[in-house]
Amino acid sequence: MKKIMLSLIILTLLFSGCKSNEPLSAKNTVTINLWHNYGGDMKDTMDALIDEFNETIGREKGIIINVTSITGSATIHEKLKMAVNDEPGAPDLPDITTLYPNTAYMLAGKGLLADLESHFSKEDLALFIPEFIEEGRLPDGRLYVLPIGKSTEVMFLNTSIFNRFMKETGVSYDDLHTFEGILDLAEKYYKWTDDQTPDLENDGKTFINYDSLFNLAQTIFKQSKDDFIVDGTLNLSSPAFEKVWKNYFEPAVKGYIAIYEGYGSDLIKTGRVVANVGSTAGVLFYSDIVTYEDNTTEPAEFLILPYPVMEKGEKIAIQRGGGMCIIKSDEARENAAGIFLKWFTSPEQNIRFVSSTGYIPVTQKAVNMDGEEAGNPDGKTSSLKDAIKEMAEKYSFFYTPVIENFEELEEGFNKSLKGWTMLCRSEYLQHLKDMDENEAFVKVTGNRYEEFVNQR
Amino acid sequence: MTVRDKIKYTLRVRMFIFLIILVITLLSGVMIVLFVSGNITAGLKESQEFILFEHARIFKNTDSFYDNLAAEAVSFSRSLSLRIENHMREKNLNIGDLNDKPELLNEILSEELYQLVLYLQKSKSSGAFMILDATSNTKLPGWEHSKAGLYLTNMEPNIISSSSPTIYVIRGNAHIAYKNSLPLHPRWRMEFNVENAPYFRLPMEKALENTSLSNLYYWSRAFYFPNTNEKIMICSAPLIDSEGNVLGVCGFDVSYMLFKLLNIPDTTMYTKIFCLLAPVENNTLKVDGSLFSGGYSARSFINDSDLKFSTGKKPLYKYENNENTFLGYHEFIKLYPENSAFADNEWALALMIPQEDINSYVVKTNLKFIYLSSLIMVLGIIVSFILSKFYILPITRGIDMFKNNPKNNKRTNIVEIDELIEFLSNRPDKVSSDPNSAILNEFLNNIKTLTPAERSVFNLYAQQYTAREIAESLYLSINTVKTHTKHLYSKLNITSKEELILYVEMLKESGKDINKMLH
Repeated sequence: MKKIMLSLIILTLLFSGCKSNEPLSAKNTVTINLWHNYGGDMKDTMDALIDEFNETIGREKGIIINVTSITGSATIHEKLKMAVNDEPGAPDLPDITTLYPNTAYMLAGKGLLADLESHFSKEDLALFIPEFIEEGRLPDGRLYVLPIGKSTEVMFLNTSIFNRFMKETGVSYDDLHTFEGILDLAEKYYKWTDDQTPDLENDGKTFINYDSLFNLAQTIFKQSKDDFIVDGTLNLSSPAFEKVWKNYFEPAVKGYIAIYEGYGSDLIKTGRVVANVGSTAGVLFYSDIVTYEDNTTEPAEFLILPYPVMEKGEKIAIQRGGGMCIIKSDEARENAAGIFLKWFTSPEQNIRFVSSTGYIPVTQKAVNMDGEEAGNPDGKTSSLKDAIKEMAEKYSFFYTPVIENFEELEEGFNKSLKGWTMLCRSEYLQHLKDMDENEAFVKVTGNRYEEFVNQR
Repeated sequence: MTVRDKIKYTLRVRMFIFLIILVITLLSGVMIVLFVSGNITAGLKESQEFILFEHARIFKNTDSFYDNLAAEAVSFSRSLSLRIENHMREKNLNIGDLNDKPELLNEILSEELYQLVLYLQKSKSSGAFMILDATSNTKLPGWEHSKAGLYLTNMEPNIISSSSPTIYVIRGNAHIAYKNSLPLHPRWRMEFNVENAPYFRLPMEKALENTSLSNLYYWSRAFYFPNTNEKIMICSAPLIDSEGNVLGVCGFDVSYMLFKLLNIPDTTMYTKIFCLLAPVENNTLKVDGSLFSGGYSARSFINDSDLKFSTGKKPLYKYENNENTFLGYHEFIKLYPENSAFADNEWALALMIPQEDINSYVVKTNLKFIYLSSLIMVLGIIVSFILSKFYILPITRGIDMFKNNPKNNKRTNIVEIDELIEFLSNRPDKVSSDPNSAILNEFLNNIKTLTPAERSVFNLYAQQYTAREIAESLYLSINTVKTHTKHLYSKLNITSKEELILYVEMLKESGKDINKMLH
């Protein structure tokens, strides 16, 4: 009887064994929520890559990546902040999110981020460009942010218009390399365009736009060997800020530089500016056609130039582009997130993600890939690659300091400086009706610099 | 003695074989039942059910979404028509008067921007537009195809709980975008080119014939909006003033991404499953004009060539193009009311899977079944082996008990075996205890009645020869031996060779020599 019982137990085990022999991981899938802020073509590439992961490695290992696309890094920051503070209507925290180190600092402070060194071995991390990895290491020495694609700022120039301007006024491309040269060009361009409509006074066009005044200020400070942010506040009392003021506020009031809330690539589309200084990542947003007020169009060709430098200043530019982090949860989820990030940042995937965009790959192998792997770049992308190459050889790069109130400082400064400039520009245009340019300018800008510094 | 004879005598082997036969019979029976009931092709049936279920789910979603979007387009058109008419009445203008008046056009479009944003969000579409039948510059070449308007597109229709969607201006005067802090789409242009735009031309033309707005909205085939890289479907309704003048069109788009996100099929069973909302012509799905939703691996499997459908493994349909064959299901989707000017346009929502994937799934599922059956059979054999051992155990124990001590009163507790032991213990006792017993004497006497030939056969049987061996030994045919055997059984009053040998053994045990006694 005992033997019969034993046989029955063996049989039961054998049958139950049939069931549990199926791969546990593939059966018990883990769904990983990922937030990212990539838009346009990059979003399409991101979606395609995630689809591919879900159907290959993900299927094999039982990982499903569920993507949520969120408008802009600032919105991600805001939503993460809401979630961290458990504010009403806050979404649940994702497992992986794209963010900037400043946002990571906020999350790490609450103990919400996983240390990536527990998911990536030293050998894994050695594949990345060391400077890019270091940007993701927070003051506590731990690595929380893994680089995905990096960007810097460059100047996009519509050569179709600039060449006409150059031909008629004798200016040169060399003038575009320094801020001083640009100021001079912008003034000449305003006058040149103003002169084209003799019956209309003061209708000259702006030459250039700066997408981020905060980045402009940070870079001018760095080129002057100073820091724009000191102890969590803006270092407006520094003489370097006068350079910022002179290179933005004053020419903008005169109409040489654009005052615009959005991206300069939109102003270039209508010929409102000839050049824009902005992120390499925005290259896809520059149209090959300029459409004027009367719906006439002309083709636009672009030359992409390295970031301008102050005369006698150091050649230094900003390094931008966030990365991805893993939010702490349970071991299975964190491991699954780690597996995805390893796959996503492998050179093959990385080059696919950044190719045809203005992002710079983050692994050395991906940087070395070109030609077939990276796709065939168009004119703009090709010119961009040249500019990035030149900057990589001749410039040094800085990244923004990791402080909790970075987003607030950036938003506050941009809004405030643009607001002041717009107000003064409007007053200036009013005064031009009764007085000449110099008089109007002095009247409007008199002691605005001191007022701005004191008010901030 | 042959091997066959040995097996014949091993009761355990016989039992083992009987049990295996039972296992095989039962297993075959189960398989026949499963086959007849259709369960043996579980993969196909499962696939059919899965496709029908997924199709029904997606069909319901799509039907409701498209119905709602058409209703919103009609409502949008009514609201816009009225507002534009009032605006033009204030200025004492007709639609034709707007040509070459960019300021007026911008004024109208700027005023309607808010409406456009509102309807874009309300309709949950991926884009909202209005096009006026006028252009800002008739001096440009091709001006007759250039129309002023405003087209907003939601770049991220899948965004969650965002206070403001990412709205880009894809068509419209840049001033409107700048003024309202709306970014321009990378492929932005100022005006619409309507040269090849049925979404503009058709509703305007039909609006002159039919006055009921709900019969005039039009669904375009999916197409790449000029200079963009994403397919869209457009629902457009004419803008008609109270006097029946057609001012332009307005409506919404459904982008490839939005359609995909709304209708993504479940890929847990088949990774290459996809659905299409496609125009239908002559039993053909026009893939070129369709919107697609499916995973990464399905996308690479389908191109723009038409898919001809025919009845496949019912209720499924077979879809074929030059490269691939798919199995799936479709139903016609009603995008228009019966009296619509476009009621003849047929659309179907189809869900399909490459046929080879279904085939390999069926094979895989049935392989699993075969593996499982084999496993059951192996287990059946093991169980038969164990059971046959347990079954025979009391018999061998009984024999041992009997051999060791025939007089022993110990029993096996198996009724039949105990009865046999009892019988055997009693019967030989009688014979062996009394050498002159009547039974043995009678047997000896009966032997004497045998003919010489029968005696020869008897002698060989007594030496445990088989019938065939006897035939060979005596140079007789097997039938002759059988006849002798029959006669000698009858004369000796026995029924088997075993009984014959038993008598011979008993005679030997009682010390009687048959040969001596008979001579």
